[in-house]
Amino acid sequence: MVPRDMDAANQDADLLAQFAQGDRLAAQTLTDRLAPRIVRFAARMLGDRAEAEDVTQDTMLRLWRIAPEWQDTGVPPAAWLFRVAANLCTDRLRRRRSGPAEMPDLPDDTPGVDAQMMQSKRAAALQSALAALPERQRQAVILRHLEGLSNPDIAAIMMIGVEAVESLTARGKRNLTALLSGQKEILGYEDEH
Amino acid sequence: MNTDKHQNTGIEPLDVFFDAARAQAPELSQDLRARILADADSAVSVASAPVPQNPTLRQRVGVWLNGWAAPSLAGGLTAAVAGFWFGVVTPMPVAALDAPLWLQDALGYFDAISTPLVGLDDPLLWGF
Repeated sequence: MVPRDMDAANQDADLLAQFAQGDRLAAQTLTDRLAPRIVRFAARMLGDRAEAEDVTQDTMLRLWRIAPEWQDTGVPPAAWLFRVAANLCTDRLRRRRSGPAEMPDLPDDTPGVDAQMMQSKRAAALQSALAALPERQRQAVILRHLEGLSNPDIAAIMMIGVEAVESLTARGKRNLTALLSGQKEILGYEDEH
Repeated sequence: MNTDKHQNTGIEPLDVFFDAARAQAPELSQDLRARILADADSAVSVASAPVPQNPTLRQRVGVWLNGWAAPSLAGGLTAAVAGFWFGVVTPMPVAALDAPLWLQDALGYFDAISTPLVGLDDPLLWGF
């Protein structure tokens, strides 16, 4: 289950049912509960804010459209949304491969930056390293370590077994470590601890 | 020292990057939120649009008349009027041949109309 407890999943399902009955307040609540997670996930998958917003809007639109026919199949709305968003991101990444590659900007190495700048540099460095990961590893790492989902939740979203999720996240983290190891001094985190 | 711990464990330094990424996480902009809710409104409108009910007899007749019936009736009426008119102005020789004798006088009345239109003289007046 993607939500941390059944209550959250049931609340989402109830809100979706209310929306299907024409309750627009339910749409607002659902948007506030779910859309921020989708936009974060898509932004990290794609490394592009504008594309992430398009994916989020498209994902939510599909939720609105399916609402009248929504049935409890054991997949909560949040998991369903992540699955749709992942597929939309995959489509965009495939199209992108046929064109010029878009990589996130690497952080510059300007010395003397403050803590806020350091955070930004680290975040940008991680985004750059994530972009270099195989897509499935990237997805698993983002969901596990940035969105904080459990392995069973991720397994439901990616439609694979829990062991496969563990394998993907472990390999993803190893690759990230290798990619970021050369930037420790540039990012200066050693000086901070 | 933490640095040593990072260097020894190898994997732990990633948490520094994860923490930074979580702190820098993109948020849902008001513009995107508005677009999403506009989509929701549209979806609700489509879903709640009134379903067409069975039309009444009057509506059905109206549809029938506005469809193929009215033009057809108009065309038929035009054809009937045209046929009547051509019958009235038919050249007398044809009418005279078919008409019984007792109708000849009556046909002579129409002759006054048909003659100038058709441009022929009445054969009856020629002595037939």
